[in-house]
Amino acid sequence: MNAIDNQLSRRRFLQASAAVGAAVSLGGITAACNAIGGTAQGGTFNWMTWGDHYIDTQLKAIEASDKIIAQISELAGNAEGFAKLKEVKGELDMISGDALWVPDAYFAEGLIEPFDINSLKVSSQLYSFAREFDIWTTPDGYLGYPFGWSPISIYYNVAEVSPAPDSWGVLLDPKYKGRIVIENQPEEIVAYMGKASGVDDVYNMTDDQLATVKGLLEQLKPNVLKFAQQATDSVNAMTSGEAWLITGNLGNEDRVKDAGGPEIKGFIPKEGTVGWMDAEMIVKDGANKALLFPYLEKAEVAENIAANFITHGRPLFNEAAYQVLVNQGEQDRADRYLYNKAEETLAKTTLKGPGTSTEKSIQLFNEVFGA
Amino acid sequence: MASEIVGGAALAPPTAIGVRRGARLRQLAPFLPAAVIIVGLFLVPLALMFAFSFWSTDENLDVIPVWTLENYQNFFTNPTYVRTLFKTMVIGTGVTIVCLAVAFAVAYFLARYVSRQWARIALLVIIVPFWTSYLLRVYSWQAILGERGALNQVLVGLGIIDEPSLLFVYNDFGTFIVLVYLYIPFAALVLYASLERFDFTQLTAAQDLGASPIRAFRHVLLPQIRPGLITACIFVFIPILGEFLTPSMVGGAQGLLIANLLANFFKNALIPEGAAVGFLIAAFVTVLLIVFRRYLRIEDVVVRG
Amino acid sequence: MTGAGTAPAIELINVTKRYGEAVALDRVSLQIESGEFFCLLGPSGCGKTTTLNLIGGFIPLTSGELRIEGQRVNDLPPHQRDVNTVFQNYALFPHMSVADNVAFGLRMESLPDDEIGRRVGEYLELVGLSEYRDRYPGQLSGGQAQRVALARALAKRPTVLLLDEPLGALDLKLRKQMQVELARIHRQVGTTFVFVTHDQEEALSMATRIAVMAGGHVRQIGTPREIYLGPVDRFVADFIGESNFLDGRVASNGQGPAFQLSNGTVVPIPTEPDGTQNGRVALMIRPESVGVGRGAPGGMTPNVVIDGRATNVAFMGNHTRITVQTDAGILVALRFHGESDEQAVEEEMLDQEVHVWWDPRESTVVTADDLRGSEEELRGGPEG
Repeated sequence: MNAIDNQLSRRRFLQASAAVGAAVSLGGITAACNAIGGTAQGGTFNWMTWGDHYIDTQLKAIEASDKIIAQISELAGNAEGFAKLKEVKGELDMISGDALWVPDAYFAEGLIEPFDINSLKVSSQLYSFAREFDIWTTPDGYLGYPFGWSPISIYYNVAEVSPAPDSWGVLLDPKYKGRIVIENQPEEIVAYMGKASGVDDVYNMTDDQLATVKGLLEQLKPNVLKFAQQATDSVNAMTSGEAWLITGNLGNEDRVKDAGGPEIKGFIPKEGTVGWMDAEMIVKDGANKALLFPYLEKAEVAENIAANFITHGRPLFNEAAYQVLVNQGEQDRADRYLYNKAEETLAKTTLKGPGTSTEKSIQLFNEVFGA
Repeated sequence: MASEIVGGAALAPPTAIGVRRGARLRQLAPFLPAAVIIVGLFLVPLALMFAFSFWSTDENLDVIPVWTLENYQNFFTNPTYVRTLFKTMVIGTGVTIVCLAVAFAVAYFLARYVSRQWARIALLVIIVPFWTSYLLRVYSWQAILGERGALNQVLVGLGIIDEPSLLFVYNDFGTFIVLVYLYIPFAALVLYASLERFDFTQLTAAQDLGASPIRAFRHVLLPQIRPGLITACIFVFIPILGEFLTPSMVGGAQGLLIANLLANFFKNALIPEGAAVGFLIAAFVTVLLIVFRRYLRIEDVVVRG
Repeated sequence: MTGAGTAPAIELINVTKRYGEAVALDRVSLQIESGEFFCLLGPSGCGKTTTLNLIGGFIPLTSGELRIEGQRVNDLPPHQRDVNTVFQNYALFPHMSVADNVAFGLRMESLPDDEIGRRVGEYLELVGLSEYRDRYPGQLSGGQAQRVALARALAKRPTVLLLDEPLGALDLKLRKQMQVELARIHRQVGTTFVFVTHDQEEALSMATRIAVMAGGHVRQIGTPREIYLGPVDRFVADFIGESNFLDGRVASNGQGPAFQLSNGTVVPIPTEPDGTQNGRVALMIRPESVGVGRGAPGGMTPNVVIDGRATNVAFMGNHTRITVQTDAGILVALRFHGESDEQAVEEEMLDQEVHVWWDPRESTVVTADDLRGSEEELRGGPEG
């Protein structure tokens, strides 16, 4: 059901105030689960992650072969996951996070544990650079097991949008009034407009830069039809023809085409874009930490990752999976999604992360998009 | 609200005064769970929210317990928030009026002209859609009102309009329609409950005494169902102040309401900033409730008397 | 059309009311004169309340004509009719004080405030509730609520006051009080009262005239005395008061019309009644007209005497009720106590051979073929 605002805030504060109670009950569940599966080899661990980080059949297979059960809770976003982990700490064993959130928030706060990524046999299937990202490297080890990535692209309906755009500026063109669907993520929308105005470090903008961005947001507002609650909203709007321009991860042209929509094309704007790459982080003092390596060894194998690519359609860091895709006749799609161009693509994008201008960005967004 | 509870305790019946403490505690025991829920799930979080709202968030999204009025200043100095709250109230008021009007017509018909058994079935039919997910229902409205939606197809098919209209959804109209749809059942249930108890002979009596049907309605029926009307108002208007999913799904980029702005803070872990907005809305709701309650009580006394 | 001055207060001309196929009222014609206390009496479903609702304007006529003081009012809505109603459940407004309830109709007329105040005082005094003016209906007893309803309707000073079984919800003692009270108020205000009831005793005690209804028809209209003493048919006789019915047939004893009972006894009757030649007929005798005793009756009167056996003797307080089985049928006789205390005699009668007798001038021949109205519909309860 709907959560009214004060209920929402109530709930948030309840979480904070009743953390102890929650911890007790969660602990109880965990203990119970451990008791059920509690051999040295098997058990249940708690994982907060996005819905595209696992496939149910794969989880079932690991549960059947290794008696390891992943108890998954939905991760809504980096900031929310971070706030949640700060409350429950070791009640979770593993959590997913993006790019700079990993070192700047989770690690800086002492919530996660670095580990030797090379001690995981399956890590040899990764692109070597994925095991050596500077931002995820610390003297004590690597901060997360790399999973997927994508730059944010703009997609346009070829029949409706001309000439072919190459810039964020297309989103501001009055011709496209009410024809844009954009993610319901205020800080990202502000970041896009930061890019449009030529700012590079869009999560740490100065007041002057934000003032410029405000002007662009005001131009953007009338063009935005609605905010997408989830990626499928954008795809559906594009498919039905309601939207002519959307922003999103790699692979939307195929999703629209598969849904029977018009021809669309995607591009990375010439001003540069923001992007994300995510990793599975090991929570410090997680009760079921011992289960994580055995789980990752099974879950992250090339066959699983290739299947994940086919299902969820955005590139991943498993190099061996690329070969699997080639063998399966999916090389065309993998290439179009820049599967093996991660290093150079990510080098050109501003990685998502907590910034100094987050609060001001939200205030700015509210100011422009409020009544 | 708190003051009301205290007031109620002060008005405890005189017979209870002489009862020994132990017996008194035993009497209160059944209310313990309710008290725990109210204190634990409402008052404590509210107090926490109040405290948080005077703190701030640092760059690591940690809450810094340093007292500041900044969060409140932001709300009042940035005209967006006041304006959006005002807009939310205008839409909320409009939706409440339409909901009450439609729900009243339905409830009146059921209470007066339909046997109790069939009325119950009709109410059930009205409520059934609410067993499905909220999201699903709002998505359905996107499918109905959208450019390629059912409504446009029908209108174009009938030749009433030449091209699909973009005016049905992703604006305040869309929000309005969907909110009306979402809240009518609450209003209908509440109004039916109060109309069911009404003795409709009174309307005949009023007309017999020279009142036109409209005056009979106004002077006889309305005052007696006022508690129901006020409850229905509360059930519709106050939740709308907190609606953020519907406006963002069918209101589009131009239709955000106050709760959307609030949700944006929480989505980015800006808890104190969100808490201040949340608390202002909660305070506003509390004031409204007290005002409503006062009306309710006067009516209660009169009707009971 | 008749002039307003001489016209009856209420006039129904061939009024029919149908609900779909069901006929609630079938070509009823009726005149109620100004100032009458007119009673519509009958069992549940007889059409009496339908008649009242038609006059009040709460339901439309199917056909026929309704006149109030000579004016055709078929299509006039209730709030424009100079008629007010005391409802069966009183229908007081629970959110208004007693005074405001009484003032309601006056406010709807937009009378000046001081006039409203005066009338509210006047009518609350009329019903004896001056001290209750600030109470709310929820704080009143049934009898008090009844009086408020009366004051509220009368304060409008209507041409006709309609009362829909207003005493039905009261207990017996209160009902008796209110009967007296209503009669007093009627005399005092002089307004035409149209009173609906299924209680024959209420009708007899208060009404100036009674219309006995059954099955959507008016069976008989007359003063209480006319109807009690001269019921037109067995239904009316049975509905009004208690009656003995003896089967038999109309015959002649050579000296004039007579009725032959099933045991052969021939009872002289004053005139041969209409419509009794065909179909079944019965001889009706009121129980209080029946004498009973172990010896033969004394006195000069030419009584009819039959023999029988007293099968039940019941002491009823101010009278004793004696049931006698005769070969002409069962007869109930009432013996009122008073002048001579014959209690011992009565008790001795049980299971003894006794004589019963009556003055043939006090028996009436009634048609006995139509029992539908009396038997079936009486079971339906008090609502009409």
